[in-house]
Amino acid sequence: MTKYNNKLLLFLVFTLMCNMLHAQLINVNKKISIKAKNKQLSEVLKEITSKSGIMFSYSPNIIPETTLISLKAKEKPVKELLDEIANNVQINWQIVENQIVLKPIQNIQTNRNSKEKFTISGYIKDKKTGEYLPGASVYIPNSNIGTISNSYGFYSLTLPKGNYQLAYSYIGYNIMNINVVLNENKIIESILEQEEIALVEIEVKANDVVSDFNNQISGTMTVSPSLIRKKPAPMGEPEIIKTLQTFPGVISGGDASVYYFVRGGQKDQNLILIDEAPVYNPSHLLGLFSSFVPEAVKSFTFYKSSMPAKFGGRLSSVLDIVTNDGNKNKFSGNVSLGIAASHIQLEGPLKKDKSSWFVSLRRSNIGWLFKRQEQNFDISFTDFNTKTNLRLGKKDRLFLSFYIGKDDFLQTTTNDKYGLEWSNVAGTIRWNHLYNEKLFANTTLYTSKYNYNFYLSQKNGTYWNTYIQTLGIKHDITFYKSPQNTFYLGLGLAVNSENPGNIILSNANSKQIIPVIEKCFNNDIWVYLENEREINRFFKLNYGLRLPFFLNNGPTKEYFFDENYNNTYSVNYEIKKVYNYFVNPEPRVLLKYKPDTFFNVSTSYTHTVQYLRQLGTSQSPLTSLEVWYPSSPGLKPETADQISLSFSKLFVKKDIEINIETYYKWMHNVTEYAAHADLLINPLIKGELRLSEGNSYGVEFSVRKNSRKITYWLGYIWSRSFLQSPDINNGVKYTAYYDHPHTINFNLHFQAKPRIALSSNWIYSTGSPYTTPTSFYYYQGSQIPVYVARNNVRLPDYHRLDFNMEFILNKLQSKSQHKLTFTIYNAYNRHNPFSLNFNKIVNDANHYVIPQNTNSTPETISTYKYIFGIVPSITYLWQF
Amino acid sequence: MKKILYTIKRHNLSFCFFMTSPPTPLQLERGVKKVKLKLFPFKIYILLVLLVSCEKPAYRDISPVEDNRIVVDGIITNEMKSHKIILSKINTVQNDSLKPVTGAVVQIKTSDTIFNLSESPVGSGVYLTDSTTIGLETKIYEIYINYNGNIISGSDILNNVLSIPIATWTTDPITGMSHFKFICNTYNNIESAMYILELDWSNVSGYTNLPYKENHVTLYYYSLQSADLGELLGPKLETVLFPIGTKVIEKKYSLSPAHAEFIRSILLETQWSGGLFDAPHSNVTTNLKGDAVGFFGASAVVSRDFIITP
Repeated sequence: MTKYNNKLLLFLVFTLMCNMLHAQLINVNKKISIKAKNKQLSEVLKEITSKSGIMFSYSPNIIPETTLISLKAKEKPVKELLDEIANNVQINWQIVENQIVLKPIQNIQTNRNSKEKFTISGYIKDKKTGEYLPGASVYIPNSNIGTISNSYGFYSLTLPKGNYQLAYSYIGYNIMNINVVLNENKIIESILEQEEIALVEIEVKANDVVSDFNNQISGTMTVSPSLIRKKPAPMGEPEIIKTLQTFPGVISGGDASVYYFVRGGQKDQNLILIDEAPVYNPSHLLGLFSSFVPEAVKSFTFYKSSMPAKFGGRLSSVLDIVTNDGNKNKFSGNVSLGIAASHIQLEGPLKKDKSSWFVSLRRSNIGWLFKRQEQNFDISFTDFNTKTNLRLGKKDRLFLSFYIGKDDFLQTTTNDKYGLEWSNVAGTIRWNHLYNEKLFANTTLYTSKYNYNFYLSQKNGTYWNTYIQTLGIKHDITFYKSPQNTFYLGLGLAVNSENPGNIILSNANSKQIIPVIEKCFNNDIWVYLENEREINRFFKLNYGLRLPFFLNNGPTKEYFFDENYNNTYSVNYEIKKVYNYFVNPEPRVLLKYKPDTFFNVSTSYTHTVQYLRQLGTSQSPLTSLEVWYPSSPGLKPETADQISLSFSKLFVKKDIEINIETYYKWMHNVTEYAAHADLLINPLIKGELRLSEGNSYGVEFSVRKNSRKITYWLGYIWSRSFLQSPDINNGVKYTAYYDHPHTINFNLHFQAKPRIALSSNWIYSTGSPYTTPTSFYYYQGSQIPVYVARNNVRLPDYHRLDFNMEFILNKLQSKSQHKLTFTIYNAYNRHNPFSLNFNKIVNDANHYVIPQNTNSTPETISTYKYIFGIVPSITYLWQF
Repeated sequence: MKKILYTIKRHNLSFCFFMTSPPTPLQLERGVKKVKLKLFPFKIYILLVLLVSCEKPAYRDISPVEDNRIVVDGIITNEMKSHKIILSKINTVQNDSLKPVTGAVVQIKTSDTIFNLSESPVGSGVYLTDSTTIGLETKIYEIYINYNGNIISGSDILNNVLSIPIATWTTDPITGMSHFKFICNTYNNIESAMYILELDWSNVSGYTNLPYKENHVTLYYYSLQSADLGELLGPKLETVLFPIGTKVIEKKYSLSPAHAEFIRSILLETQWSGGLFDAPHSNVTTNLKGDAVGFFGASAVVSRDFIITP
């Protein structure tokens, strides 16, 4: 036995020596330099062979030789390079005779035979702050198997028993690869590390890595707030909504407007959520700024078609804003000082790595600037965000969020004040619960209120008031059946009340002479089910149904109208009496075809319903006295059907992505108004509405280039939007005032030096349609206009160029950072008109005024109004 | 004690410090200076940015559209006088002069009376009743116009009118010129009314020998049962100034619901248009049948005269 063992030992030593000899023949320690960027594996191996003389052997059938890899090394041993390649491409290498043999490590293909399945689940977090990362990818490299973390950073992936290499990626973060031996259910909390800050240029998802491209959904974009900071903004105050307005398919409401129109939809057809609570008026200073502070926002996702079934209530788009959770590891914050506003944000752990808090406060600086010019103006706005997240156990998390935004726009007279004051309040309590590795649930209790006062006398307490408030609860469940099959289901209830505009008087006698506009009460109840499944290697299907019930309740007085919009009778309904309901199923389906890694085609159909309308005839870019009004008897909900088709192509070698999306949208019962509609202090407000049919269509084309130095984004949209009502424009179809056939957006970001970045954007769109007189007549000395058609002309085209320069003042490695940003908004001082009038004269003070004296019959002139000329600004930001 | 910021230069460096008392002569000699905060950049900034919504003259390139409808402008009231109906044509060009419609047959009818109107002077487009004509409250008045075979008709009810509220005005002590502060509430849920104020300061010393248009003004004010955005947040109106001693004849006209709606639509298209919050434009309403625009109204009138005092 010993003799035999000795022979065996001798044989092994001999074999080992032979191998060593061979190994010496191919020196894997030889140092070479190589630079490959997105090159195929086969090409990289050839280059290594040419530089080192080492030969490779592998079967192209099992080794993904077309896989693109990037490799950069200077005088590095071949051995280390091979390890790096093996790690990226999920292969093993070994020296066999005088060559290196490449073999795949055991992967999903070989594991598929296993009948036993286990689940890997957990949360994906940021290493520095401990923040959960929504929308991060978890996948098996070189396979089409993977998933995305949900809005709470949770993921679940069920796979056959076996050994796997898993990759975790998120834009702006280093990819993390781990090897997993899957022989039981596993919880893996993955922690991703941010790339060096100054080297990260673009944060728009689905761009710089293939996995993100593959996760791209038609009509959806997710954006991180650092992109917003880099974009030029009016008065240097970064804006989420202004950034959104540069996206393909989104038409801006004009200079300094928070209004936006998505694919031919009206301005009230966009749902805006902050931590799942709706925000009804996201504007400050009549719309010059929006309510959301970019530093307080973790990410936002924008859906213009194919909205998930969990969202409903608006026809055209959803903007889902997720605020920061707070730093779980250490106390940190930032302070910014700008011309328009200043902001401070603080965050830190409650219990390290488990719970955290976050507070953000923004206050305008406009007030004191105005006071120097106009002593009697009191103009200001404030935003306050706070969030606490608590880890209650392995399976439970609690998030408490609160937001309040407030505006004052008051003028002081000798002993009184009058003007505008409005506020938005939103609060949510969210409880995440993990039933098991495959079943994630979230319960949200939320409330939101938008309140608007127009003070006629603040001292006497006389003001016009409108509000809308919502209290809701919802339960959303995600069932990760398998990587190829995920179910989303949920239900919810929201209780709404609306005040469509009432005058509040302190004088009891006066109350009798002001009509009362009935307040409205309604409930929204919904259930939904959505399934996302992979049909085969090429096709992915997402289909769902949302079933909302909308109920009108008492106490209220409902007015009924005949076909000529004359009030015929009214009925009083007692408290909690459900006197009307609507049920409108909202089906949606999305089919994605992905013939290869770099190209995908998707098509979708979405049916949406909207029960709440924002009423207001103003076509101004600025917000005014709009009121929210519910669907009710005689006022059907708005509905829309949209089909869309999109093509995306990723040219990895050139870092270029091309997107083409086309859509057609039919809208029904769209809100329009009778001629000279009377919406204020009118109990018969419903009789002033004219439900119209609308249709819109267009093609959106965009090209994006992302590289370390230069990022650009060019978008061109051709779109049309029409409305038709028998009571408007003699029943003839007319262009909507937000119809802009041609829109071009060009965004450029140039990282000149690690600490200096330049950005610029140029926007062009066809002028808005406008109604202008074609003739005039005299009545009591005044010139009265005559119109032949609605929106018969267009305002001059809109275009604007903005610049932004960001300087990091300290070393990149410093723990805290000081940044200075210079912005020039509207660099060539273009006066973009938003209205055109014919009825002004010039008074002695050289101001344009409306003539009063009908004896003098002065010549009236046409004038146009615009908001901004050139606006330079400077902002300082300190992050610590 | 108020702290004031001072500065002193030493070795090309400026040092700033606060003092509660003025600098001594010695300190002044050594170069202590009061710091004047330079607000110029802010002022520029304010001018650039905060004066939002700037306005500039525009050129409207509109092809004129011929419109052959007749414009009817007239009211019958409960005053005993010659009541006036003005007939004119629609202008295709802004600021073109009024083009009269002459040679029309014009009648005002009630259930029991017909008033025939005659053009005076001929060719003016102004048609007058005789001086004894009077409208009666609660009666419906109908206008009948025949112009080259084009028949136009329309009617309105003559509602009663409540008393006139007391007008107030303010006078600038430096210029001595006044302007009206209050004529009527623009919103009145009880009654819609029109106020016409005719101001005459041709007898006031220093203004006697001026042309008619320079010492006579006609102003219109309205009280309506509705409130509009353009009215609340509308464009700036011309301020008409007049001297102490101006004679004012103020007349208040009742407005029927249709007449009030007509006035409201005129205001929306003229006085309340051109502000920050423009609404879609539409044609002004009318109560006339046939190829006509304008309005034939019937109103009860109360009036009072007063003189502008300091």
